[in-house]
Amino acid sequence: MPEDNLNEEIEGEEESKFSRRIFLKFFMGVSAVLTVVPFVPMIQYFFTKETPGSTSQKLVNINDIPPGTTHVFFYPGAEDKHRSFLIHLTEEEVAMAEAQGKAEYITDGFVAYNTICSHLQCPTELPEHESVVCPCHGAVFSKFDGSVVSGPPPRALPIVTLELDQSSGDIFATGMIGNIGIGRET
Amino acid sequence: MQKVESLVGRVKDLLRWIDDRFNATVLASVKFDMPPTFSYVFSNLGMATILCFAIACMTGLPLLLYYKPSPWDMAYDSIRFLTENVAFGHLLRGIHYHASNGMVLFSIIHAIYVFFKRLYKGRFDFLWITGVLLGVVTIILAFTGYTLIFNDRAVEAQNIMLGMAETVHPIMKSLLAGTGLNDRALRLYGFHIGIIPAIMLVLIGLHLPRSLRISAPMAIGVVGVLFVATGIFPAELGPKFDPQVTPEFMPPEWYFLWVFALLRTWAPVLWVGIALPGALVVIMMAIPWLDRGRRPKLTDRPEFAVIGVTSIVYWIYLTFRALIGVGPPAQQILPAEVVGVFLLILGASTFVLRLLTPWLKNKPRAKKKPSTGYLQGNLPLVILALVILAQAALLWAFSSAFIQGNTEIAALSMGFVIIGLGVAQHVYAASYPK
Repeated sequence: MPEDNLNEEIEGEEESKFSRRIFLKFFMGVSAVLTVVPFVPMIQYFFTKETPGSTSQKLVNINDIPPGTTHVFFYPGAEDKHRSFLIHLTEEEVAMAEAQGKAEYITDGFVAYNTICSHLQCPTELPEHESVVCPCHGAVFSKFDGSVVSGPPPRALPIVTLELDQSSGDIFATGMIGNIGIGRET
Repeated sequence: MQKVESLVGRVKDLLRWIDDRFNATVLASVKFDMPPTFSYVFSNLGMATILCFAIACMTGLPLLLYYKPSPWDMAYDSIRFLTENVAFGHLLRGIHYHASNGMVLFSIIHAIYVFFKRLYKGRFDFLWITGVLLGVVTIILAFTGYTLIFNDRAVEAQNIMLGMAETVHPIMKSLLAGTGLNDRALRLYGFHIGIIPAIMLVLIGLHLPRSLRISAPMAIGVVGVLFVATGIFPAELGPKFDPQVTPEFMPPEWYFLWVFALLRTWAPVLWVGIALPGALVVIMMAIPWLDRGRRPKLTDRPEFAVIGVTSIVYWIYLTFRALIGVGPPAQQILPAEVVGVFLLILGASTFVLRLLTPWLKNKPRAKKKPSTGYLQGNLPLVILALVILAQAALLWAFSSAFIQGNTEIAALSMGFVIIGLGVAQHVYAASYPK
């Protein structure tokens, strides 16, 4: 065995052989380290960027969504976590939102937000009365702007920004404020 | 200095502890070795085969994260995504592919070596049987692997496989393809990643000898060679299969070319596609009992030498013949040619071996190499320093190739870096005085 040899050499006090052995071991160690190096960046294999969805997307025509109804759509992709609500608020509701100071994101009576709860990423229930409820841990969001009313979520739901084509009446989603599953700051 | 020495001592103690504990497990029967001389290549072939299997497993598992076992578009697109968009995806797939090639190649040479050395007698007849079965399973495993890509070649291979299965019995087709195309994709996938490897592991358990000595430099060399092979022959993607278009015919993988040649004699599929390969497997398994002689030397059992040489030469002939006249349209290989060439090779090898026998009998025995290290003085130090310099240069080549996205050069330089470590280990072991 190599190990026995080494001990014999040390006991024999052959200085030159001893240092030769150490050098050999050192060189082989360096060689081994150099061999491991190219394997390190291979860890990148496990990490790929998500494919970004479309930026502008037609959701629905204004005639198909009467006031007081909710349209479920997927934006910016088509995965479960992209589920969002487009809500056409009634005039009373808009007035109520303005009274509560939650009308910031309402455009022409419409508001849209992603519906993945910012607490632990469960999909929420459909809006009822003034709130959107998450079934998992009892979070309650405001129907008017997705802000937290009560419960554990740290942040409000991400808003989907809207654009209304006045001539055709088509409603487009144009972007998102905040991150899906994490929420928005304001 | 004192501190460093005590630290080194502690690390050594830890390693010793780990080694001691490992020796309480089944790992005790596996010994990593650095032989002080060139190890005999042929005695490492079994190790190389199993190493290729291990590497195929290690590279195959990460591939599971991207492959989608669905027919046509989805499967093919997932592999294209892996190849083009995932860092090291192309490299990993290439290593996986060449590990499968290595398994087939090394196991064939391993079998040839065992055959000529007559290592299948006595208790080893069982290992020979499991070895033959392992060879068959290896080829099935490799085949299912390349049908998963769903390019033209893969779908053609699937069709031919199903055609052959149906020739045996329609139930065989339903075993392989289930209720249809979706099932076929899922089943081939399930066979490839789960069922066949499991069978393989059982057979490996019945094939490995009781104690294993693995030559570390040789093992590392094999890994390096797989990387180099990936650099030179990267894994291909091929055109996506489109059911509307008749695909351009491509010959099968190299280990199926001999069957392909036989099928092109237009003989009944059941005979040349099923019965003949099956019969060959049975005959191979029976070899330990067909060989009744008592003396182990090849010259004392000339009929086996003739069988061996004829088989190898004929296999090479069929393999290359299959690539001639592929078409389209594919030309028939005349049955008379196939039979005639067989008889010709049989006669020629008998004649040549008879001529060579006196020389083989009197051949002076090769001198045994000294068991001591053959590199003395400062020579190993110089070689090791050069190896390290070469490795550093290759690493630089690797990094620039990787940044430029040149997978081939990256794989090639990575392979040579690994081979460098094998060389370094060998030089280190060969520098021991005894």
